[in-house]
Amino acid sequence: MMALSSLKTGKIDTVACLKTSDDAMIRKLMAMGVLPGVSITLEQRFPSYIVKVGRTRAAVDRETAKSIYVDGAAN
Amino acid sequence: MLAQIAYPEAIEKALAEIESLLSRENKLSLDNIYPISRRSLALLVLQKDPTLWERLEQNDKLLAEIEAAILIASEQLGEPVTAAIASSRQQLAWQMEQQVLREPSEAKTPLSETIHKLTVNPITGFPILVFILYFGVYKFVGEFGAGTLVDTIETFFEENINPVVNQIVATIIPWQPLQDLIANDYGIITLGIRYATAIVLPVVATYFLMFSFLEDSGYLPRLSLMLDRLFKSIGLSGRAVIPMVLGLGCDTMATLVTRTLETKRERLISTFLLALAVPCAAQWGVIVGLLAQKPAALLFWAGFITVVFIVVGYLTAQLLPGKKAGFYMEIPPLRLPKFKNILIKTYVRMKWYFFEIIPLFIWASVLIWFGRLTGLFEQIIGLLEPITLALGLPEQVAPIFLYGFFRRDYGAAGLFDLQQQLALSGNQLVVAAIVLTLFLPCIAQVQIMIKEQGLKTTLAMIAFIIPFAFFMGYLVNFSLTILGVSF
Repeated sequence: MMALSSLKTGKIDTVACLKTSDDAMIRKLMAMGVLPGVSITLEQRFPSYIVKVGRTRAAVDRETAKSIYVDGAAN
Repeated sequence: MLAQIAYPEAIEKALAEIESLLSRENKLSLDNIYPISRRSLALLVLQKDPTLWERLEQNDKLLAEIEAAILIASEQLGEPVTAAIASSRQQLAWQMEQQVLREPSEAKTPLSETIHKLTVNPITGFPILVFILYFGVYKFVGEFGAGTLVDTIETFFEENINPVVNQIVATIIPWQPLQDLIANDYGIITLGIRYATAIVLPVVATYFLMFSFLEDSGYLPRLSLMLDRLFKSIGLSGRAVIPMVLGLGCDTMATLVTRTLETKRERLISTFLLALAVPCAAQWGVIVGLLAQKPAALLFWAGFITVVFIVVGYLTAQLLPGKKAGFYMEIPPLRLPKFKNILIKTYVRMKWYFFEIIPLFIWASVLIWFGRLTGLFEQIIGLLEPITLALGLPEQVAPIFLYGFFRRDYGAAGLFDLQQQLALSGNQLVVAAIVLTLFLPCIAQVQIMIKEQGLKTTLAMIAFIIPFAFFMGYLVNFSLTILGVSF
């Protein structure tokens, strides 16, 4: 398991869990479809992290990217 | 009928528990207030729905039992109950999707996807961003809206409407002070209405047109994500890019839009920066025109204001306690906007803005009338004169600072007139432009600040802004003189 922020760009992985105590962030991420079990692709990391989840694309900052954990199977 | 979602066992158990607890408590009469099934009600309680929760807080014993049930469930699940519920729903949604959706495999990348990549790639994205802001904001809103259109309508007013109004008022009202309230230099019609239609209308129209276009194209979230890191350093997130860019059109409108920001801290910082260091189109339109002949002076002014924006933002972010704003935003696909939709949006926004703002301008006229009639203004100007002299400016600049508060561009426009009469030096123009930009926001903006942040916070901000603006002017004048720089 590893943080999304250290995933290689272009690799598809699966969200393992959301590790944050910020309830608002969890709710927002879930609303955007970032949930455990979902496959996620990191498209780029600068100037912001851009992820693709299903057909949804989202931009998150470094702190948020650090609290999304993926299985790490792609590496 | 849709199948009921089967949640994990721990949740089903908690639901049953809460359902029975709720049915025991008839006094709360939740069933009557919320005509939904008891299971749905229990689900909402389980997810701590704020409205329901508030109602439950009337009954301490019940609340404690419910909280215990939620705690047990989340311990058994090993994750928050809300997360587990969302997962189960997502699973069902996927199953349904697989049954009904057939996807043709995409052979080639669509054009919108290619453009998206270009707009968010740092190498191509930043030039695109500068290009859009330069042509969309600077050229279209600043030069065309705040320049050409304002001049045309303003001239029309001054040549065709104001003389007629002045004449009519002079004939029917015999008393000079009352004439001044409606007509002449600062009257409700000749200043208030003229200002609202000749200056605000074209600026707002061009601005909303451009903004609606960017909004419908899906570019705004991309603008936010490109600038998020930069904005983090001043305590804001990429989300605040939108009100800041709006501020370059009209700060009053932008202050209202800070409402959309997520944290109180972020709303406070952006309101403050808008009041201090973001000039509105009416203001920077005139300043750019004034300094156009001296590109070095123009660059110095713009650079100085940007530095103030960043340094003050950075320091405020360091000093202000509270949680730092996070950034997460959905990025919709880029689309070609529909012209009709843009027009409708612009029209609706203008209508709303116009009716919201016109009363404020009428108030400004009344206040100016009152200030002049009672001699209050002369006293304030008298206080400002020594400060003006200390900045190396002629004392005729003093009234400009005061009137600048009533119409943000008036100060700049007044400076323009003075420049014609007195031939101010390049340094004097730069100092005056810097003080005017940093100085108090216009009266309409102050009213919105009070509405959004409260009187105390607004007064605190103003108490910082006024001395700070003059001090910066003093510092610039002093440094330029010492260094022997003249623009």
